[in-house]
Amino acid sequence: MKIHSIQYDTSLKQRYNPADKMKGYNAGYNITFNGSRASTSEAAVKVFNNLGKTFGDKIFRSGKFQKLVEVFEEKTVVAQALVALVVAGVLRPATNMAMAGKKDKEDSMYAAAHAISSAVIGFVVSSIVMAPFDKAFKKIKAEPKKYLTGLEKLFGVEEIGKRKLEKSLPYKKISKMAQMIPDSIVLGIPKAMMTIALIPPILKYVFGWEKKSNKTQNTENFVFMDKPVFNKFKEGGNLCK
Amino acid sequence: MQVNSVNIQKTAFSGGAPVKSKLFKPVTKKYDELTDYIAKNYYSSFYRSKFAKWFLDKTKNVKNMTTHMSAVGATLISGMYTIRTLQNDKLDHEKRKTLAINDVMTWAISTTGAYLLDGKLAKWWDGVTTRFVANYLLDNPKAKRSRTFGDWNPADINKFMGNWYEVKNKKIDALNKKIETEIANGAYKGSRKPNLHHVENPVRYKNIRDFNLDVLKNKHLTTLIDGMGVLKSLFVFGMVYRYIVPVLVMKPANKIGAYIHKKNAEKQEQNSKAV
Repeated sequence: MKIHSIQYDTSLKQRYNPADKMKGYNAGYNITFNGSRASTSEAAVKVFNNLGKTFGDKIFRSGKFQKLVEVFEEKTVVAQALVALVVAGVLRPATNMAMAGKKDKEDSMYAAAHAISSAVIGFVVSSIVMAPFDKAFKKIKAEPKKYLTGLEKLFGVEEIGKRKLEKSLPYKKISKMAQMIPDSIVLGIPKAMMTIALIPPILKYVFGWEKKSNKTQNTENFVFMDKPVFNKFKEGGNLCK
Repeated sequence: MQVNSVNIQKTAFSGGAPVKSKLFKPVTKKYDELTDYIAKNYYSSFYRSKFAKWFLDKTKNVKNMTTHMSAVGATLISGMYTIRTLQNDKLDHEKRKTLAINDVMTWAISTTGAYLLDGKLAKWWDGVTTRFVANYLLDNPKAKRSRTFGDWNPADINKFMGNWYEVKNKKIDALNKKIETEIANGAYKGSRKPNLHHVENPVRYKNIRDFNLDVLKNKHLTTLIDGMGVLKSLFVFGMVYRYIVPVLVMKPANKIGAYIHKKNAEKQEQNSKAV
């Protein structure tokens, strides 16, 4: 809730509205509400038991988690690539390997190496490309008057200022769009093509995989290079030995 | 006084802020110029573009842009893969068609699933975010605005979002009483009497972001609350597009499809033998 300064409208353009009389009843204060009104008959309000003590609370209270949450808001594209790195680079290969039978073990290992390479390339490229864009966006947030003056009407605010923009939904929406366009729209396809081009050399020189035949996507055969580490892995040996 | 100021100037700090290396100064300067250029020529121009105005006019009811941008990005990449598959000369026509249909189906299932899951989790995630804020307030008592609201318990934040104004009004009553007593004791003679009013038309908040914006007014907390929303959406979309559909749905579906195909082929073979 905000109580603005007294506003007198001396123009003759104003039309009479009985509701305005009620608005003006509060000694000329013009009051606007931003929150949503909850009914008083709502179910019992939830109290957070053991706040700060559960496992989840300990994560929430950690500085690293809070920093991560900040990254998700301020460097959304890098955060998106980070999610891809965790999901496609760790979780997916691990599940594929666990689900693989004896017959398709090699295919699963190739798919895992492919997924890891793809996720790492995506993360590295996004982080490098987006770094100046993220810093530029930080500048906009820090000095909105310098960059956004004249856009009061578009953002539905009385004046351009940090606190005012925080409350503006149009600003929030268009900012998120502007933050994500360079990577998702402009770089999305070139990045995917670059990933496709970079995967074979990465598979060859990092993972030791080399394409044997070039039939179809589903019937591709791959051979291990003669690296003892991969032979051990292939045989199901313990790499830590 | 002058002696004192001289002494202050002479005070030397052994620690303090680290001195920036001059070696990287030209690089950091160029980088700063680049980011300034992007701020002016990309962000500012984008905000001022006709497209931005048109987009905001057309999407007044849209709130979460992270989900839509993730979906648009996935659509573009899926589209590219589908076109590449259809243009792949190494595959025969039927195979190309099957793979392209598979690409489109995967995209359609993923997009629908991601939107559904994101929507289903919205209310639960609001609760999680509120608990996250309560934990933040536990560690940052200043953010509770104790001077205005007293030392309230963050565990009761849901209740407090509904009755914060009662707490504030009680505080105002107590202050007004104190002022009255001071006036009775001869204070404020010749000066303006402080006049504290109750909160007019108070709002009972259900949403932690609105509550923070209007009552707690903590900028860092706004960033964290927004970040929690982005985290949920990106995680849901990432999981659905890259894990749930390709691993947990498509892989078993492909195996079932292959099994049915094999059975049908066997049946056809038996029928042809019988004939």
